[in-house]
Amino acid sequence: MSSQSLNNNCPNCGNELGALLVRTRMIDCDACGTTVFLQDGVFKNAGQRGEMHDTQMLFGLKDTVRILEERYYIAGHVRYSYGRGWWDEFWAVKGNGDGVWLSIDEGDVVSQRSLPKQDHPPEDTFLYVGETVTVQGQLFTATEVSTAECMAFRGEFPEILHVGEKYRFINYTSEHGALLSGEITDDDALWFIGTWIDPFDVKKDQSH
Amino acid sequence: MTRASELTAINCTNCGAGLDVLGGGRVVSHVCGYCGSVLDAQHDYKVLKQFTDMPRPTTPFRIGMSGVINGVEFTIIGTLGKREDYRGRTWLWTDHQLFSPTHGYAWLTVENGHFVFTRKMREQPNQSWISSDLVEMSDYPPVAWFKGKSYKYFSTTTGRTVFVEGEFNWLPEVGDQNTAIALMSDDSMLRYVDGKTEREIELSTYLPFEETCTAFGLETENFQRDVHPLQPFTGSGNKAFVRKVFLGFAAISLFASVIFLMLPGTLLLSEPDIPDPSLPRIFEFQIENPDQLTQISIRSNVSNNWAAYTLELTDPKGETVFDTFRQTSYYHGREGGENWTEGSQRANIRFRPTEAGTYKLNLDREDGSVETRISVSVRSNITTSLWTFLAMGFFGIAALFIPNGKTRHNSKRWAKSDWSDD
Amino acid sequence: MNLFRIIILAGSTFAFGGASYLSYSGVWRESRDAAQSVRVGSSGGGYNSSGRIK
Repeated sequence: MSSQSLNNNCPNCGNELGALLVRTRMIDCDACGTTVFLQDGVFKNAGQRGEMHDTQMLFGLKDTVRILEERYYIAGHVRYSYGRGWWDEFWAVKGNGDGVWLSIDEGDVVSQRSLPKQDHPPEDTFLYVGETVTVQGQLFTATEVSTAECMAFRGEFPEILHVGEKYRFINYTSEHGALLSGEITDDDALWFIGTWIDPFDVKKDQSH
Repeated sequence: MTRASELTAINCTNCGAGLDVLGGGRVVSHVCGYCGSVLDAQHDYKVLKQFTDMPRPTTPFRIGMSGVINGVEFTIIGTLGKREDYRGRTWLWTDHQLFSPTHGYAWLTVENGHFVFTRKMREQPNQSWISSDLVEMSDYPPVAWFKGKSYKYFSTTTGRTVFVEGEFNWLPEVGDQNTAIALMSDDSMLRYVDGKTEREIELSTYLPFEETCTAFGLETENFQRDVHPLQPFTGSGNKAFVRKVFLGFAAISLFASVIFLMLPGTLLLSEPDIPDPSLPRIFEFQIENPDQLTQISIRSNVSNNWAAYTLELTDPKGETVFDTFRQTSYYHGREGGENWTEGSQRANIRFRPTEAGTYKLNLDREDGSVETRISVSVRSNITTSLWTFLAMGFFGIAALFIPNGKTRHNSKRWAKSDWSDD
Repeated sequence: MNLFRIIILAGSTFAFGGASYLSYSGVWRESRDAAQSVRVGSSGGGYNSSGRIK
């Protein structure tokens, strides 16, 4: 696993945070529960990591999973609230350091990677169900628009998360089953593109 | 969406009956099994409607039962009674809605004592949709390719919901109707389901009866009455084995026949080019292995003529073994541009000597025979391919008459297909 | 390998073996006029070997 070498101790309690993955920008401290983010090579305190209730999951943090032909190390786990319930997102890293977001909601598994800036839908996208956009040559139709709140997270992440942070999200589906998701806050928009994964195709490595 | 609260039971907001909450966050309706009220699971279980006089379907499963299917534990959270009427015939089956916190929602269908596991597929087959109209218009059974398997059109069914109970991740109604176009591979069924509000693609696989009963803690007698289209072949393979053995022995017998046909025997005497006028003459030969078939051959040079010979054989004791005659006659010519021949220049006599020793053959020419030159040979250990050839026939025909269990099973699986070439 | 298969295999081997033995011995391929049973001119043995029939 690719890792970066830093003097990486928790700025709150001094606990050794261990070797970090290449794209990690944020990590939580197992000892004190503080989350820290990396800025200009220095760790800074980012607040609390929230409470993660134990639930039955397809896989968990630090598991190695095989999805079809690819192996992933589950580096980070975020739980988003949806009002009446929640769903889980996992930052899953491949051997070469690249990663995907695995979004899991009661057996619905989606693998998505970050959409390059130049492919983002126009900023004046209206965010309503039924809206269509064309991304990377595929026509997508919006199927769901709602608000999510970050409830808790554990592990390492390629982006900075804050417990309690809210954003609007929009999910689009293409004719061929591809999925496009937008996470929109007042000052930023993150877009992801990917596909459905059959939960029966996800195999947890037993050696872990 | 995973359900946030640890809600495990509610009271029916219509009749007050206690109802277990077993499904996940995407359950939208809960139908009370006591009063038939449809409760809105996402809005404080308010009563949406009520169904009465629903015929309870026959099924060994009950809501709340859990069992492991394909390595994943599922709980039965709902029951649907389904019915199809077509040309005066009625089919009944039961669909149970299943839920697993890790693998989501699925169906367990009970039909004629067979159990089938069905899941909604998010990935798309190469044929993203097949409609009844397409099936009607097709000259060939529609085919699709999904997850490395090919599927061929099997049937179109239109099921009507006649009973609802429990939790569902949609809103079922008595009288709901949906049409499913089913395509089948060797072991699974791909269904294009055209429902009330959406189109779905489902994949069904067969669940073994005993294993599934054990997994769900059922003690049910096997009540299967027919071969289900998805049922795998579970024959012992004995018939296939016998076929293979018989075909193998047929091949070995053919090989042995060729060998026996080619074996020349042991040459005991060879007298070539004897002029007829030297006859009668006595030939002597030694038999070392009695009881082996021995053959005396005479070959004459007759051409468009005949020559007959008397043969008298005496054994070592001087007793006559046989006293008989053989004729060689050979005619040939050309007629209508084609060559023809008739008869043979060769004549044989085969006998089985009973003791070892010197045998004497007295050979003479019959009166009236043309004068020619002959050769005489005697061979022992003469074999025949007759018996091994018969054995080949026996094994080959027997193999043809053994039904291939797997082929028959597969034709039973496909027998219920409603495809017709018209 | 179950008993049924063993019986089938043994039976087939026996049938093939028998057929091979008959073929090797050339059974039923004797000329009809040279077979012992229709031996021509056999005088037989024993005291009544003169060929006369009492």
